[in-house]
Amino acid sequence: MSRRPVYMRNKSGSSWLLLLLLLIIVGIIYGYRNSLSLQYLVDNSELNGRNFRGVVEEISADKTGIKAYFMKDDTTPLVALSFVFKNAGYAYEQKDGVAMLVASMIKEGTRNINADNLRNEMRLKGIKLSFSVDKDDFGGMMVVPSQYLQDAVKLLREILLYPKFERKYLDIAKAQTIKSLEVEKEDPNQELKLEFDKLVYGTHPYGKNPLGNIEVIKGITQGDLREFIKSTLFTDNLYVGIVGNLDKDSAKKVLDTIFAGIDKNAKNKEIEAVDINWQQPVLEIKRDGGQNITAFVFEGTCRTCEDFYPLYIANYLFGGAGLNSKLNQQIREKEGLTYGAYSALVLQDKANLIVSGFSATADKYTKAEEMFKQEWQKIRNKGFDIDELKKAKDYLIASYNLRFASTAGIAGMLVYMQRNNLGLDFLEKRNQYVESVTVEQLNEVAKKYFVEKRLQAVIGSFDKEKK
Amino acid sequence: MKNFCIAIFLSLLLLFPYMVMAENFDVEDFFLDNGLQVVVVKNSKAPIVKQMLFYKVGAVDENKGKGGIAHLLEHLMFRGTKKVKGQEFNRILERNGADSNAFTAQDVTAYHQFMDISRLELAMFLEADRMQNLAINDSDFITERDIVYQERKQRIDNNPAAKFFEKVRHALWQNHPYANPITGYDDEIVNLSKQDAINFYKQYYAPNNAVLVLAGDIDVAIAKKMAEKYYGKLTPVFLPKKEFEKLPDNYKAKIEMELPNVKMGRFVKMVAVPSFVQDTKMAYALEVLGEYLSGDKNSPLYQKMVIKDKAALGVSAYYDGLSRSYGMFVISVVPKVKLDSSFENIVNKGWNFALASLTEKELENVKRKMLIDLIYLKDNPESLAKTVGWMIATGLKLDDLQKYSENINNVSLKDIKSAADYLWNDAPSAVGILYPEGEHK
Repeated sequence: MSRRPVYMRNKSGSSWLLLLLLLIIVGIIYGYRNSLSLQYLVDNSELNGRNFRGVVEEISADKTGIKAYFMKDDTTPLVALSFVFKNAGYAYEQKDGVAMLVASMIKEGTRNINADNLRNEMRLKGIKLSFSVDKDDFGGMMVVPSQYLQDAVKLLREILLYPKFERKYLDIAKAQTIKSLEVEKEDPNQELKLEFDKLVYGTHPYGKNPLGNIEVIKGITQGDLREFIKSTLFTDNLYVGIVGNLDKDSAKKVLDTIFAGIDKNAKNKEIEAVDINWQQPVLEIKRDGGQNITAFVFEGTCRTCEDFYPLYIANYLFGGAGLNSKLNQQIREKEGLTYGAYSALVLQDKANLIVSGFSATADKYTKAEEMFKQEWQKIRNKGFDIDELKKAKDYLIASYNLRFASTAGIAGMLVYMQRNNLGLDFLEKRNQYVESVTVEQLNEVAKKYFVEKRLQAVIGSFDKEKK
Repeated sequence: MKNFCIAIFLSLLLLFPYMVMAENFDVEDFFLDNGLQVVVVKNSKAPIVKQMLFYKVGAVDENKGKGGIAHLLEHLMFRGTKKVKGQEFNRILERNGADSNAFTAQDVTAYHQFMDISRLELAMFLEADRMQNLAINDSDFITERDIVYQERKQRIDNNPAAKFFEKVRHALWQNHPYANPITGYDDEIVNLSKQDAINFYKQYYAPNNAVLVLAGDIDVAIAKKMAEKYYGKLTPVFLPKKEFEKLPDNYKAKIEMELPNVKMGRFVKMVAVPSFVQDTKMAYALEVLGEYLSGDKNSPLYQKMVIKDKAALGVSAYYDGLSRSYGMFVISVVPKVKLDSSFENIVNKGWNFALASLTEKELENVKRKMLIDLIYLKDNPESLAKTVGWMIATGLKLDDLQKYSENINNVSLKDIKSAADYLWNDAPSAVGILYPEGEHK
């Protein structure tokens, strides 16, 4: 108490003003920094603290024992059922192009309902059925207003068990496929992808054109399509996700009805892992067009492998984070050399890769390519710092709830969880998996994966003077 | 008496089975004093929200020779404001898990973020901030102009058929601004200046020229409070009324082209027809007609041209009526037979067959399908946000969304026939034929 007047006297009145000024300045700086981080807008928001309430359960159908992940959601009167048969993608087909044709033709009539009537029924009841094929899997998605669930279930059962592949629609589908095989060459991106697949995968079935080839397509019959279903789709390899406003018991009955008649014991052919020959020169495809387009392939890791989360974060920071990625920061945002560069982990049963690339006009291409290679090298040599790791974690964790936007999207995720062995509690644990990655782990994968072992393909004019 | 009512109700259900599905969208709107219209779309499936800010300005508002400025400005909006400098906008949103992007169209420009609901206030602060505080520096301007130049090269020049569609579009719209590509032409882009961008920004970016859509786990009361807090202080600008050129009726253009690297022939007919804001009654008739013609493989055009006559490998038709000026009706065909100038006759035959086959019963089925499909729009807050925002930004009212089912139901066979007749015979149109490389005689 007694020191204050002394202090006052000694330091004179202007000190108070100085102190006040200092406080104001500190206050302004603090406020400014606070407003720059703007985090108080999140921390103090009354919208904070809400969580997704959906619960994933595993169900097992009474008669067939078929299992599925199930989530009840009453917010929209819809039911979505997503399914995947593994080892049933186009790499496993007996004749080139059959798997894609099955996916596009499987709704073209069944033994009890012709194609035109089937479409009409789907139309009038709002039933959406779609089928897809990739290298490894054959999949499908059914979405239906819940009042028509039973009708949709019956249709899907018919389609999977007794597809007719009506001749008139098969003929046109074959003609369309043949045309598509020609049209693919119009698009330089597509041409690059197909040629690059051949280089990367060689004679492995992954290197095939998913559409097949003209000669084989011409000879494909209805019998070939039926044979594909019989010899590749087995419930041993089936993963199902069901979401919507139905209860658990109804979901079990849905499983029994749709999949009861499909053989259980898988008899798919075996496919070996791809043995990539990394010692191949850059594939250059000459073609006039607006830009040169390039793609790179590097070795990746599997979804359940130890390196997955660190590599996922490393890839995110390198080229997966949109405009904020290192690639786009350098090549696009600083230099304006491209509209966009990307990098992605490609998860496949027989080859896990990192695929990356960009496109740029010929006059900018060389510089962009140099920068791309520099950024890649920098990852290995310098690694990432703790702030970058934090940034990636912040994004991945804060964006977590976005995956629950649509009923069909959630159903697809439930299948993905099973297909990749992520466990029933994945949704609860996923953020912990991300959170637990350390900067040491991140820099270990940077050294291990961001190496010079790579393949590259370029399509373009290679004319550096041209603009 | 009670039973009698039920009997009537049931018989009505049998007559109009789709009527029971015409439920309302959970949507409300309000205005701030500065003119900003705010639309709230409630969807509580997950604690997420989509913020979309639509400006009622697009490529059509560019001055002659300044093609691409609306789009370039959209890019520059990510380059910093007086408060949120440089690339902080992107960095802050990234750290907060938001998926953020924007797009420019002929009639509208939209900025959007999809995020956890806890980040909505942050995104509203940022979006409001850049409505009037943009600070573009010279070097960022040059870089971003280079980027949009690369974007045009990637979208148009890497895609051989894109040039063709650009030409047909131009042939149809002539002096109307819809003739111009949204990206601008190469020589326009490289000559755009920072001042062009600033002028455009100052003229059009204001609360009274925008619609804010908040779609997701949000209540109207909270939305009101927050919209007022973050957007309430922005100042309106004077907006001159935009007049669009009128196209002459009976105008017919035809373009035939051969382009390198093209492997597949294409036929397209683009028709300038009324939009929803120009002629609501005809627009709804065209909306139903578009669905009837294109729905699936049972559609009459597909059945006639692809299955029966084996003249085509594919055919599609659509009506786009959400525009500030004309709407557009487009029919595209991939020919199976060898393409020549007379292919138009085959398309005419397909069209006549389709119209002649339209019965009352089929019309009811088409409408039923359109209404039952609305449930999918309600399922996902992202898709409904885009539709509602686009509707309002092109001049419709929220009530038009709520009355959509009713308006679809009211379309009669006669309405469709007369709309189709106008479309095919009198409306301004352009036909385009693209020959595969080396196949034009």
